[in-house]
Amino acid sequence: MNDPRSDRDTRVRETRERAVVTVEETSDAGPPMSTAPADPAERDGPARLGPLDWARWAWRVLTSMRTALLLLFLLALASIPGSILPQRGTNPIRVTEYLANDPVKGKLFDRLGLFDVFASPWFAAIYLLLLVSLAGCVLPRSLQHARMLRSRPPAAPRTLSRLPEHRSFHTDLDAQVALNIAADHLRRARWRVDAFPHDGTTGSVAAEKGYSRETGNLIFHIALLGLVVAVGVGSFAGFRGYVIVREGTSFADTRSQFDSFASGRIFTDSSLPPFSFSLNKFRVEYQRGGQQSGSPRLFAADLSVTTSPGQAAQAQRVQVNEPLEVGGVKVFLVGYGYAPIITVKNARGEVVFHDSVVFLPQDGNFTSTGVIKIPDTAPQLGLQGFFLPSAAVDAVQGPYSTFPAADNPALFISAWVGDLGLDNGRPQSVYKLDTTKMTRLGIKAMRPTSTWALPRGRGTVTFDGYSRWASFAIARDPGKAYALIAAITAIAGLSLSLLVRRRRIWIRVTQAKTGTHVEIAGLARSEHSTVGDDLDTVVAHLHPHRTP
Amino acid sequence: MELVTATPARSLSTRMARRSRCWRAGVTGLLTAALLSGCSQATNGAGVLVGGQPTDTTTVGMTFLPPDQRAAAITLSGTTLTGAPWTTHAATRKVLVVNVWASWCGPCRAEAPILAALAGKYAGRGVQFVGIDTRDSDTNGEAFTKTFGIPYPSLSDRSGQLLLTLSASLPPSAIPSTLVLDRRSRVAGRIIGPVTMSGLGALIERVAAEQAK
Repeated sequence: MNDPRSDRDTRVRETRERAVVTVEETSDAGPPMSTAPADPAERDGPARLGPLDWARWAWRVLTSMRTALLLLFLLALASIPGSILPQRGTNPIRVTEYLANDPVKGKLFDRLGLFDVFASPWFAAIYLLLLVSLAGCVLPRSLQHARMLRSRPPAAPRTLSRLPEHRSFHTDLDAQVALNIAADHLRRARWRVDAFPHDGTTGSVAAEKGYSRETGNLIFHIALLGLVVAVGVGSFAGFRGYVIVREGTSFADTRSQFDSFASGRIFTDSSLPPFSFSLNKFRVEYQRGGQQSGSPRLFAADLSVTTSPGQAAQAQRVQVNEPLEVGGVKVFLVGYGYAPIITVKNARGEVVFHDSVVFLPQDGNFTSTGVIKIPDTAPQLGLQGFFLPSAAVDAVQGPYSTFPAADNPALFISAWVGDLGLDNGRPQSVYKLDTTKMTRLGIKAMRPTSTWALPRGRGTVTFDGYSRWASFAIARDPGKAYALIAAITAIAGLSLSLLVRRRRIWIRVTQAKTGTHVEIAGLARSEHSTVGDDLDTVVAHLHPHRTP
Repeated sequence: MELVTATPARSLSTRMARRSRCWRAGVTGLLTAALLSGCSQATNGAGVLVGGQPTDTTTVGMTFLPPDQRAAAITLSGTTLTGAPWTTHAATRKVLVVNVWASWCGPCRAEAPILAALAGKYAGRGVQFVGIDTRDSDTNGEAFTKTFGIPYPSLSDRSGQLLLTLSASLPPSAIPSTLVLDRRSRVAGRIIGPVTMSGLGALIERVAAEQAK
């Protein structure tokens, strides 16, 4: 809000300021130099409240800073289940497993929306209330401030000597001349000045400066509101999906082709642009030797992109931080790995499986693990193990890779036979083998183009070779540009409100027989004001004409 | 002469009012949140798929489009898993059931016997079945059709190109999903997730009952 201090401190300060000036002059220092709403507790006496009053009270409470802070705290609290429990958005398989393992608790959590916290209605309620609170506070204050911007500085209080900063001296200048000099100086220093010319006894000048502090404050809050709305719009209408594409295969931008996908509420599947691309080659070069041995020097995906079915394909290269932009959507290169090519034949020699299989890297040298499921043979087979681009075997930790490049590729797998658990219809992760209904046949280390004849005549497994895969993030965020503009504006507004000091200066001249008595006093909104300095410059301006 | 109310009394009442205000603010916030959450509608168009398989039951379901809301006619042409060419011309003026599947997908394996049975039931009655095997190799797809004795051809669509052409009105967003095209090759209905005998049967009957104009 305005500043880190609470409303209470503001009231104490204003009470102190008013106490400096005498009781009958409470209004002489002018209206308070901020648009903070008056404290309802200082209104006199209890009153009977009608429904309109209750509504007004509810609105006042909702738009107060305390409620906004409470809602922010609730928002943070509401994110806790999102971190502890598996979420549908990121790990739906784990959610299904949780529901299967613990149906009572799982169903309760599901009913409360704890498996999808950020899409749940109560989270949306907190977020919306926060938005309403922010909007309801900022907008009326903006209107009030707009009105105040045009106001004139208030007239000088009767006793200037009671103000925090005060100077007085005598000069031999004529009273009106002194006033004019002071007024001109202040106007040149860009103060808003109101002059009350000398009418025979006294004349005064009232000046105020620093309106842009409150302007900056309000710009900051409106920009914050804009930022929240822009982020909301972006997630409402945007989408983000991830997909792993193997070399030699393609990707078409339709919902069923993504490995994981999350979109906003008003997003429809048919609004995905119908582009497609094929991964022709994934290039990666590693640093060999030296301190950074093994770190990639280059990795790039060479794609052939088609903007819509039937169009000619165009060659494009995608690298990290150089995304592909097609159809209003950005395609980022995220990661890469190895995909060994496996052929499995059954006991009768028929090919029952042939494909490249994605193995996921576990460390910087691309020791990769993966699973191959062969469901269309009787009994079903499963293979799981390691693919090592530069294979080595350790006596304690087993097979591992020594370098990320495929200098010495090897496959270390175990074979299982039994029921894969796929036929019952429950979706399974393709990277996990459920061996609860399977028995292990054996393990084998294989080199490219070698064949393993499975024990008990179950068939053969051939390690044909390996290819690479690249993973892509495909996303559209319509609110991103607006969020950036809002963020920059918010920082600018905040800087303005922190750097600008709001202050008032009054000058009163009284013509006396010994000369002109000049009194200058100043009042500031913030603690670290430099009103004293401003007064000193005005005094210095009149200094040549000062008599001690 | 009235005594002006001394300031200490006011500060006490201010303190009490402030404390009760704090409490009221908290209660109000919670009550309003509860009220708003009750007002929100039941969910969730933003279901998440993993490997194309639906894991959120709210995205699974059947959609039927009345004839005036159907998009333009669709032409599918591709190669079957055995290498033979196939187009939707083979199903002119017939109801066409398009099933999107993959051999590694659990729900697809569960629904395969149902589809094989329905294909047998409607054989020769003006209803044609065709599959689209996506994100899969031809070898694995063929092994799948052999395992379940699928009597109808399946088009090979490793790259998803065929599915792109179907994304106009009711896209088959998950694996498995089933589209039912009417006699004029327009998408009339869609089932996301594994089909049931009664569900798909009813949808086929409903679309088949419409006259081709």
